[in-house]
Amino acid sequence: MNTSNQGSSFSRGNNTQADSNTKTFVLPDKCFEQRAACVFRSGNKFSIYPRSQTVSKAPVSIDNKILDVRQDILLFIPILRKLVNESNGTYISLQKAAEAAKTTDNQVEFLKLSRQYRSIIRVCIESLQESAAMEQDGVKKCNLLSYITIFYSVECIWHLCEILYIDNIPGDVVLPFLLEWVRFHFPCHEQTAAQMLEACERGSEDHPEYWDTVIGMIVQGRVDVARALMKLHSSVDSNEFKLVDNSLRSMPVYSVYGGISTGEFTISWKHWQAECRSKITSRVLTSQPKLELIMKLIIGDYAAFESIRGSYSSWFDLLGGWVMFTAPWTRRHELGAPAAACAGMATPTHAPRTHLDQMVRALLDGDLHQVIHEIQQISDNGWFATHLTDILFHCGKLKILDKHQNNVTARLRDSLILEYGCLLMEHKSLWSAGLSYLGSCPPEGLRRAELALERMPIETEAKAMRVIAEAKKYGLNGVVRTVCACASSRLLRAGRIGGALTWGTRGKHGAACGRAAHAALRQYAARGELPAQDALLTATPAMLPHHPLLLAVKYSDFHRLYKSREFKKAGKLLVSLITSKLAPDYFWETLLLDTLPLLESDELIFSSEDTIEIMLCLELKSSNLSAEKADLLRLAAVRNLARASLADEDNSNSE
Amino acid sequence: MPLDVQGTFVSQKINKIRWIPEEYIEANCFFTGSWDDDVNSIKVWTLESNQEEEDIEYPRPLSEFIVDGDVTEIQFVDSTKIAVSTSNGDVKLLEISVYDKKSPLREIHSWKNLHNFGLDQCSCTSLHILDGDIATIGEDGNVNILNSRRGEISYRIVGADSCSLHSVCFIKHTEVITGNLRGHMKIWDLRTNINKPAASFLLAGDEMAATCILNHPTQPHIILAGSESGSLAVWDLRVNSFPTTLLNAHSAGVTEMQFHPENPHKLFTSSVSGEIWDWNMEGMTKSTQGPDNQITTWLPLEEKNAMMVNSLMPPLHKPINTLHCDKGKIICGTDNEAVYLIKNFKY
Amino acid sequence: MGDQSITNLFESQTIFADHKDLIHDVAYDFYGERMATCSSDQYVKIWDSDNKGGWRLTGSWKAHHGSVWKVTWAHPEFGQVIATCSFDRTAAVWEEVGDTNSSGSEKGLRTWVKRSNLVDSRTSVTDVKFGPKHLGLLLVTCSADGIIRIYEAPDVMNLAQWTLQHEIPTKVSISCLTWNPSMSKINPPMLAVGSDEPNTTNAIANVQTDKSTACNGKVFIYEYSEGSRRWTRTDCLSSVLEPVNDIAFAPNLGRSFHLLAVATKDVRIIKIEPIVDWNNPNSTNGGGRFKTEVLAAFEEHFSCAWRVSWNLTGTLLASSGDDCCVRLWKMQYLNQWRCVAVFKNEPMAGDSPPLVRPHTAYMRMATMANPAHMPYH
Repeated sequence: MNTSNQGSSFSRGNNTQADSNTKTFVLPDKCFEQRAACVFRSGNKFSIYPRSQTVSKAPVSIDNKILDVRQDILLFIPILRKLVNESNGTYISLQKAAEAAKTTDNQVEFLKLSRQYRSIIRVCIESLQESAAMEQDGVKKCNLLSYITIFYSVECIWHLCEILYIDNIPGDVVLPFLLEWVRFHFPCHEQTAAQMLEACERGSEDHPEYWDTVIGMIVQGRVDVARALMKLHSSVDSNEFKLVDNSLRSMPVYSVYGGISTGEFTISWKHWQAECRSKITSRVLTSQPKLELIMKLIIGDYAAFESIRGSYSSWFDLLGGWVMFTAPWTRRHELGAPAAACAGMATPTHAPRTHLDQMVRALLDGDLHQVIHEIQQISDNGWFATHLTDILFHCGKLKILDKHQNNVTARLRDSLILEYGCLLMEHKSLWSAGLSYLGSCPPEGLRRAELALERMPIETEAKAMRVIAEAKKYGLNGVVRTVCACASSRLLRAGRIGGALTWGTRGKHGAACGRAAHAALRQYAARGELPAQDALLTATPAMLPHHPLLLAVKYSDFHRLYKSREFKKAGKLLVSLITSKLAPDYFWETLLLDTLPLLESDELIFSSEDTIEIMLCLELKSSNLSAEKADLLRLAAVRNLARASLADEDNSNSE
Repeated sequence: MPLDVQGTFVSQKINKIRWIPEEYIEANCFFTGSWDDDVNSIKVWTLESNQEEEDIEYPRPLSEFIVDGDVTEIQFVDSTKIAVSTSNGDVKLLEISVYDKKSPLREIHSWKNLHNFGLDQCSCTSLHILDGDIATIGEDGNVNILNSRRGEISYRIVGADSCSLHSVCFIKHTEVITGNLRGHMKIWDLRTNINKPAASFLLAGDEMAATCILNHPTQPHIILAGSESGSLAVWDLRVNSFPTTLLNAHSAGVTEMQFHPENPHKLFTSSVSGEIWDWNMEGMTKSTQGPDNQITTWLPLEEKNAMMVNSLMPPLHKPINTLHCDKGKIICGTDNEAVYLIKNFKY
Repeated sequence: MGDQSITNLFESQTIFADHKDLIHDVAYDFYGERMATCSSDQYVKIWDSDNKGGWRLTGSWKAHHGSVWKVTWAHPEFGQVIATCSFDRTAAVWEEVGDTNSSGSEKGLRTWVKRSNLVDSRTSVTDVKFGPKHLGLLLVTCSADGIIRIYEAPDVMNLAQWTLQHEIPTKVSISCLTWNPSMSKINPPMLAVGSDEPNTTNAIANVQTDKSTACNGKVFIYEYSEGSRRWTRTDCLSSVLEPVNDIAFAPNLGRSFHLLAVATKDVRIIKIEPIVDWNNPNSTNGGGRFKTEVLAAFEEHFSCAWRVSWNLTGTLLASSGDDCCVRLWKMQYLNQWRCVAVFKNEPMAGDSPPLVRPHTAYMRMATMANPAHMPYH
C-alpha cells in the first residue's frame, strides 16, 4: 500500500496554536503566579520553581515552593507491567524472525507472532476485568474500566489488521475472516443464541431478545444458528417460516476451494437473490414483518440494514452481514466501499463517532498512515502503535511517504520504538525491557541507551554489575567506563580504597585507578598503615595501566617482602622504586625513610651502587623531608656506603 | 512425561525464590524476593490450578511483606523461619505461620544497618546459614556471624576484605569461605581473633566476581563457586588451594547454584545470560572414590566434555536470577518480571 | 472514547524550598537524585531523593555575600561537587565531605566544604558550568562585563587548585552559557554564550559587513583549537537579535548537527551544522563554520522567554517565560516540534480536583477545559 503524506499530518500542530492535543494543566500554587521556571530532572520528570530573574529590592518573606512534575504512565501499573514484559519477549522474537525473513519467507512466523501479541492483549484484558470486578474503590474501578476500554479497542484493531495485512487468506476473499472478527468482538447475540438453543423450548419468541438474536445471527453470517433458532418459534410450521428457511438453506456459499469460478458463483448467487426478491414482492410475508426483514437483509437491502442499525453500538457490527449479502467475493483490500456504506447508515440516536470508529474506518479504507496516526492517540503510552507499526513494517506492508515522496516508513517505526524504549528506561525496574527496544534500533537507539544507562542511579554493586553486563551486550563501552568510574568514586568517598581500585580496574579507567592509588599512598603517608593490601598484593599485571597504581602495587609488595624478612629482595625493590622516580612529592618522605632500617640493619642490604642512588635521590628530593630527617638519612647512607665499599673490596679480594 | 515449563508474569523482578518445604509431599508454596524496583517485597505464593485446565498450576500471591531495598538473599533457618538480607544493609528473621500461609509474615528479629558505610547505606549482599548460625557479608567487606536463636552478633570480622564481598558459605561450623568482587576467595577460621584469613586464593585471573559459593552436600571438602564471567570453579580443599577445575559454562554470570536435595549428582545453575541448566555430576564424584581411598583429583580437566549438561528451558532474553528445586519441581525467578515453574524433572 | 479522561496526565508534588528570598536556580545532579537550589538569600541548599518520591534536605549553607545566581553539578566521577556563582563577583567550588559535622549531623545535614573561590571577575558572575567530562575537570564562568573564563583543575584529587586557562573578552554583557555535550572527536570543544545586552540604537546602527566583529546577534559560538590552544569565536547567530536569557545545547544523539535552544523574546530551536572544510579543518574565517537554521520559534510566552531545559535525550524541551507558564515541546519523527502540554496558573481551579494516589507523594494535576479540544463528530 502506498499512502502519501500531505504535509506533515502526524504533527497536526506544526503551527502549535489551537492544537487539539495540547493539554493545559493547573499549577497548584500561588507562588507561580508571578514567576515560573523549569528544569528537567530525568526521563519525563521535571521541576517548576518560582525563579526570579532579578533581585528583590528588599528581602521579602516569600512562599518558595518547588513543584516536582512527572507524567503519569499507565503502563507502569502492576497489571500492565505484565503486558510490557510479555510483549517484550514477543518483540524480541519478532526481530529475530525479521532477521530470518531477509533470506526466507517468514510470513507464517509473523502470523504466529501477531497472534501471540493478541493473546497477550487478551490476557491483559482478562486480568483487568478480574481486578475491576474485585475493586471496591470507585475511582480505581473507573480507571480500570477505562483501561479495559482502551485495550479492548487495541485488541479489536489488531485483529482486523491481522486479517487485512498479516494473515494468509486464500484468494484474498475476506468474508469468512471478517465474520469471524465480528463474532469475536461482538459476542452477545451468540451467547443469547446459545442459551436459547440449550434450553430448546418451543415458543422461544417470548424471550424478549428472540428476534434481535435471530437477526443478529443473520448479520453475523451464522445462518445455521439463525435457522435453528427459528425452529424454536411456535409457528415454525407455518408457510412463511418454511419459505424463509428454504431461502436461507439454499443460499450459495462462496469458497475459493469450492471448485467453481467467481463468475459461476456470481450467477448462481444472483439467481438466488432474485428468487428471494420475488418472494418479498409477492407480499407473502407481510403478516410476518420480522421474516420479511430477514428476507430484505439477505438480499442486501440498504434500508433494511439501516433499520436495524440502532440495535448495534457501531456500524461495523453490520459490516460482515453487509458484505455477505451484497458482495461475498469481496477481497480484503476492497472493503472501503462496504465500510462507507455501513458507516453512512443513519442512527436513531445520532451517537457521536467514537475513536474506535475512526480507526476501523481508516483501516478498512487501507489508509495505514491514518491508522497509525489514530492509534497514537490511544492512551496506552504508545504500546500499540509501537508494536503494530513494527510488525507491519517487518511484514513489508507499510509504506509511508513524506511530502517529498521519500519513504519514511523506517523512520516512523524507529521513532515509535525509540520513544517507547525511552519511556520504559525511565522505570526503576522496566529499564531492562526498554533497553531491548533501544538496542534493536541502532544507531540512535544505542546512543539514547547510553545516555539513559549512565544516568541510571546505582545504589548497589549488584545493580552496577547488571548495568555493565547489559551495556557490554550492546557494545556500550562508554557506559561501562562511566559506571565503573562513578562506583570507584563513590567507594573512595566511603574510604573503601580496595573497592575503588577494583572498580577503576574493571572500567580500565586510568584516572579512577590513579585516584584510588593516590588515596592509598596518601593514607599510608599520613597514618603509616597501608590500606587495601589484599587487593594490591593480588593485583594482576593487567591492573597496571597507571603509574600511581604501579607504585602502590610495588610498594605493597615491598611491605610483604619486608614483613617476611626477605630484606635483600625488599631492598632491591625499594631501590627500584626510588630510582624509577614514580612517586608523587608527598610520598618521597615515606619512600626515603623506608630505606633507614635497611641501611642500618646488621646485615648489609644495599650495595654501594644502590646506596649512591639513594643518596642521589635524597639530595634531589630533600625539599620533601625535614632537614633533621634528611640528615639522619645522609648519615645512615654514608655509613652504609662505607660498609658496602668494604664488602665490595672483600669480594674482589677473595676472587 | 516430558519437562513442562510454564511462566507467570508477576510485575516484579525476582531476585530470590525458595520453595517452602513440606514434609513427605512436594512443596506447593514458595517465597519470592524482588529487587530493582521502587518498592520491593517478599511474597508468599501458592500453586493453584483453575477449574478448566486441571493440570496447569498458576502461582497466586498469599501475602506480601514490604522491605526497604533489594532482597539479596533468602535462606531457611528452619522449616518456618527465613533469614532475609537486603541492599540497605539489614538482615531480618521472618516467620511464616504453619497453619495459615495467608497470614502476614512475622518479623522475629531485625538487625538494622548491620552492614554500612558509616552513615551511608551499604548492601548486605548475601548470607548463608548453618545450624542456626547466619554468616552475613556486605559491600563494606565485613563478615558477621549471627546467632538466630539469641538474635545477637556472635562474631565479626571487620575489614575482612578491602573490596566488597559477594558470596559466602560455611565450610563447617568454625569456618566460612568468602568471595569478593575480584574473585578473591578467603577462608576464615572463626575460632581465632586475628583478622587474617586462614587461606586465600583467586577464583580465576580475570578479576571477575565470585557470585555464589556452594559446598557439596555429601562431600563438604568440595567447594563450587560461580563466577560473574559465567564459569564454574571446583575445589577440593584437601588437595590444594587452586581450583581443580574451571569450567567455561554460561556465557554470562552464574547467578545461583543448587544441588538437588535428594540427588547430589544433580546440580542446577542459572545465569545472567538467561540459561537454566542441570548438570549430571555423577562422573565427577566417582573419580574421588578411588579404590585405595586415595585422594584423587576431583574432576580431571580432560573429562570436562564428558559431563552431561541439559538446558531446562529455552534461553530467556533476560537474566535468570535465582532457582530452587524441590523433588521434581524447579522454580526460577527472572528479570523479565516472571517466575517459571518447571515440572516433571527426573532425578 | 473513555480514554480521553486518562490520557497524557501529569502528577506533581510540592517541596517547600524554605529559602528566605527569591530562588534563582534549581539544578539536578547527573542521576536526577540530588537537587541543589540557590537564592537571593545567599544560601545554597542540597536535597536528596528518598527513593520514595520525597526529598530530604541534606545540606544548607550561606555560600556567598550576594544573590546566588546559578548552581551546577560536576560529573559524579569527580565526587560530589557543585559550583555556584554570585552577584558578589565570585564563583565557588564546593565538595561534600564524607564525615558529618557535629552541629549538622543532628539534623541529618552533611558538610560541604568550599574547595575554591574564583575571584577573577570584577562584576557579577552570571553563569557557571562544568565542562563535559571527557575534557577533564573544566569550569567555565561568564560575567556581566562580558568576560568568559575557563578554569581547569589539573589534579582532580585536588579541587582547591584551579588554574585560569583562558580569558575571553566579548565586550557585551553575558547572561548564560552552555557546553556542547558532543563527545565526537570530529567536534572540537564548543561553547555557546548568550548576551542580555539591551539593543540600543547605537548597536543597531553598527551593522557592518565584517561578520566576525560586528554581528549584532546575541548568541556567540566559541570553539577551542587544539593547534593554537585558544578559544575563538567561530560564529555569531544572526538570527537571534534580542537579549538572551537562557541557552542550552541538546544532548547529542550522534547526529551531524547540534541543536541549541535559546530563550530570548521567544523560544528558539536552532540547528547548527558544522561545514566541514576538508582542506582547512581549523578554518575560522568569515565564510562561516556552520550552517545554521531556526527550526522553531515559539512566541507563546508573550514578550519574553526566561528558561529552556532539555530532557535527557533532547526530544522534549521545557520553556518558561513572562506569561508564567511552563510549556513542553516535543520533537516529532520528521523533526517538527509541537507543544504537548502547558502548565499555567488559573485562579479558578480546573475541572477536576487533584486526586490523591496512594503510596506516592504525588498528586494528579488538574486539567483545564481546552476550547481547542474538539470532540470527534
